[in-house]
Amino acid sequence: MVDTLTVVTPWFPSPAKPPQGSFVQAAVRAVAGEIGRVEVVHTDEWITPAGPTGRAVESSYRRYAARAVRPRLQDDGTWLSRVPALVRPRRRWDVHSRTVSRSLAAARAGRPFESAVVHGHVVLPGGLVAVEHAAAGARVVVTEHASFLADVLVEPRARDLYDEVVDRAAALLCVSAVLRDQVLEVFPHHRAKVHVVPNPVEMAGPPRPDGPPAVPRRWLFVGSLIERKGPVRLLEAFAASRREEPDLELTLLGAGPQRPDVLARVRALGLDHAVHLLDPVAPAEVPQVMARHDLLVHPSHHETFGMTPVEAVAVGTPVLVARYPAAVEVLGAIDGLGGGTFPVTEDPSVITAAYRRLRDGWDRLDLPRARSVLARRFGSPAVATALLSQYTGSPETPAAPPREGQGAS
Amino acid sequence: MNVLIIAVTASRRVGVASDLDALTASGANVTLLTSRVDAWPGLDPRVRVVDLAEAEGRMPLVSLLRRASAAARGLLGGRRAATVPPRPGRSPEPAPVPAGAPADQGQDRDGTVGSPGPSRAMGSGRPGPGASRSRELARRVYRGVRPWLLWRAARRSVLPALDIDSMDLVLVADAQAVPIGWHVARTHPHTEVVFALDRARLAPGNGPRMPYGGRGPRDEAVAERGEEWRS
Repeated sequence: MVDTLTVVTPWFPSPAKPPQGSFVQAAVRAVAGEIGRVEVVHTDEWITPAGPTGRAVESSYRRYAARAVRPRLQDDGTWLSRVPALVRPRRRWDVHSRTVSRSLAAARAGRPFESAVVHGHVVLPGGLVAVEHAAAGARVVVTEHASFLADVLVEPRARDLYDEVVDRAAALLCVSAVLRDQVLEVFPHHRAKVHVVPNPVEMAGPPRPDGPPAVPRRWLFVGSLIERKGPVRLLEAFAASRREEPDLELTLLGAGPQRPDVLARVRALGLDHAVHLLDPVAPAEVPQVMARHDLLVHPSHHETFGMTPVEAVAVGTPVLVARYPAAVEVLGAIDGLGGGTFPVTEDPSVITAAYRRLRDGWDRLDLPRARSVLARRFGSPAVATALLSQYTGSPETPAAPPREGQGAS
Repeated sequence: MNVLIIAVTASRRVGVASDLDALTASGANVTLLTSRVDAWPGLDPRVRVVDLAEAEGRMPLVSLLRRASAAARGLLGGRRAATVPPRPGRSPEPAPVPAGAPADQGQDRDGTVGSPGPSRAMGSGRPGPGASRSRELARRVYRGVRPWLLWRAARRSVLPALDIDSMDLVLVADAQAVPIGWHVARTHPHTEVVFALDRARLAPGNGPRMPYGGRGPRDEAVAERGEEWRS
């Protein structure tokens, strides 16, 4: 039994960025009922100027941050502290992470976390903050789910710091085996403490009230409007499909730097009346949006886990997903039951062809069964059990098995 | 409930706008202190917006730097412009803003470009290479003293009119507001100064569930659990 838990994370849903860190919130809620007190410390990055102005900002911050940061009781019974982390853009990852840790030290006036367990999300910076601010004797667990991990590990100093953080932590949890392999490629000596614990998805609620959709007429995209997630590719594929089925509609739920490109492409393709662009909503509202659509299309090139398709199947909405490695791992067992897949591609016609195949086999989908399969692996109770066993130090999840030709160190 | 939000820049505009909406919906009297008045179009008319840039521009040091910059431009800029060609690869003109870029793109991230001083508060004439250098020098000087100047401008002509003692809450909303927040916290120790709004303490539609700084059943519960936690 764990009495107290502190979760440190650079991402957590906020009014400014409702969907950011929804997976962290899901993980917190999965275990909150089993732990006496849970406090989330969100290191909210505030871009700070360089030079004398920046130094004045940091100096002032140190003088009263401990008074101005207060834990607030949330509706779900957990406590939340939003700590401004005075960061500067385009810094090396090790510098950035130490800056975040320094801001937290100021906000806590040097006091360590009192919790028996400290869970840091993202090794740099959340894991560093966790190991540097945990009380002596506290158990530190770190979860890695950074899609930018390769960028971090390519920096020599960041790699050294990463190694140090994992060394000081009791366990490193990766949200997929793909990510675990990426970590072990660089740090094979940490094999014994690296485990796979996926993101939890809430599946306790009822699926869509009107049952599985009869036809895939209303398409949905959920995610940041960035190149990696493929909103423009999707638009092209949607336009081609709509030439055959003029009643198709597409909703894009998200924001991001590609928004102007998306808007321009919508206009150029003459899709103004068929495409709806919605601002991000709070994580709790996403299932309702999914339930109002017939098909979630997820043409991403890379994800560390790929939570959105799992959430869609959880509410009973079929999915059409690119076969990036984590998608194969997470959704492989329900291919053909919960939807279809297509190769990772730049070519919209590949998505269009996959849509046609899915549409033609629409009646063969079995969403209740797909939901049941995913619930056993990614439902909150299953993931909570894995997390709690890591918190207590008696993991039921085995460490990463040695790969061929490599012995455990 | 009276709330002062200090957002010197617009770098956290989305979150601040959301907080403003939540506060006005709860019936709070909200004042926004900012040096980027232009960055908040479409605000609820109940929000009182106070322009810090205007007060900053009236500071004697800003006037002095503006005059010094103009003089240097006249002397150094004119002479150099007549005799010294621009250095290869260096344009005396400001970098163009990419087409379609938002008006404030990249401006607040380094805390200088687009801020009220020195580029705006100190004016800009036709820049020759010498003028460009003198303006850069003035910019550096200004950058060093700006946090202090902002506080001086706020204290001299803005905060007295706002009556900080009547505020139930001061919300510091971006990094450049941190020094002003510190001065408010120091000079008004009984005023609650925070970095994040606790929406759980706002009641929708009918005014605040309880004033910030006051205590109610929820506060008691929070305090009790908090003490339990610390012990």
